[in-house]
Amino acid sequence: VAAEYRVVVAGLGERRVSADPGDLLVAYGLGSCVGLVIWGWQGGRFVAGLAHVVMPDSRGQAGAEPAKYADTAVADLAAALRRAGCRPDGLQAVMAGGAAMFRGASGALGEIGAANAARLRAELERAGIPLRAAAVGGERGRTLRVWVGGQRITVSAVGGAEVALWPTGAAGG
Amino acid sequence: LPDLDLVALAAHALGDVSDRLSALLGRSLRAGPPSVALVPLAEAVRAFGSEEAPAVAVVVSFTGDLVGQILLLWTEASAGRLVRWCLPPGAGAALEESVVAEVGNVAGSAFVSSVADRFAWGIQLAPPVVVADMAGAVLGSVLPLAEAAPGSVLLVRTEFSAAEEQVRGLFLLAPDGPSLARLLARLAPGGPVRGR
Repeated sequence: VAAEYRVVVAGLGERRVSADPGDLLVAYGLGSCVGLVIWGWQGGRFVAGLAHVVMPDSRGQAGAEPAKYADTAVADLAAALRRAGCRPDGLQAVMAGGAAMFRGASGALGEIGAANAARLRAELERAGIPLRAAAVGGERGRTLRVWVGGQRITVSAVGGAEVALWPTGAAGG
Repeated sequence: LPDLDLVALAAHALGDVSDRLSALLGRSLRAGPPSVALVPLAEAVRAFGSEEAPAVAVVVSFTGDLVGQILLLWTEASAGRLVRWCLPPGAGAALEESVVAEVGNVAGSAFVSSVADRFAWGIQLAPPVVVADMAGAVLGSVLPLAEAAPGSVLLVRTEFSAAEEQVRGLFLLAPDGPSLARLLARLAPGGPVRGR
């Protein structure tokens, strides 16, 4: 099925937005990083944005990389969707990632995933954007896919099957 | 980057790593010529190839006069070969993980000792941490902690090979920004180690 789509990758700290039904937005290999999806409708057209969030706090230094940080990614993605014609009060979100990949590791290596997810939840709440589903935490990496034409979002772990994250409900976390 | 001296430094240290790993594994395991480059984060995460490819990684953090991370990333098959060289069949997952951790520990300590001895620096290694998962998830979780410049990491990268059986592993050294500056200052023309 993926071969029929044009794969658009959001690498570390990158943001992608699309209303093209032929696009598949992907954040590969989310470990402590979090893939944040915010979507809305422009008229009857589904518009989705995906940010590959790396760190919880920009400390005011986000510069040209607002999608990289949890404290700036929500506002950045929401603004991009508004520019694409979506109504601000119709935006919704899901997220996946935020794992603690390194069992027993101390410091940032062990804590950054949870901090990323917590900061995104807070920023979504502050922005009034409902979080419809989340697959966060645990110790495994994930890949997040947004099928723009199918209006669905899936998540998978290494060697695992795709699991629907939205619209059929939460896949863990 | 004035990377020629960094390449020479890395090549010498990786020679020490190869010797120590070969002794541990009882096989000749050699590191290829290292590449040194300042690489954007998103690109660095693709260093292993496919971001979804299953990999076995060992991460060794270091602190002191140098701060950063060393990663050894193996394909699943290569990690299996390393384990088979060291353990009898059916030794169990805990022992297998110990072998991979020890490979990282030996490689990390050999590399760091080589650099520390050259500059008379004090560098401490944290215990190795082993994880088996998507290569992109591992790299994406570690490399952002060692940004040498905004949005970029300094990657010292090489691949290992063994004569008897093919193994594919990636060695990455990712120092943070102040550590990179300290290294470059010592390697600069007229610096304390010039001409050694």
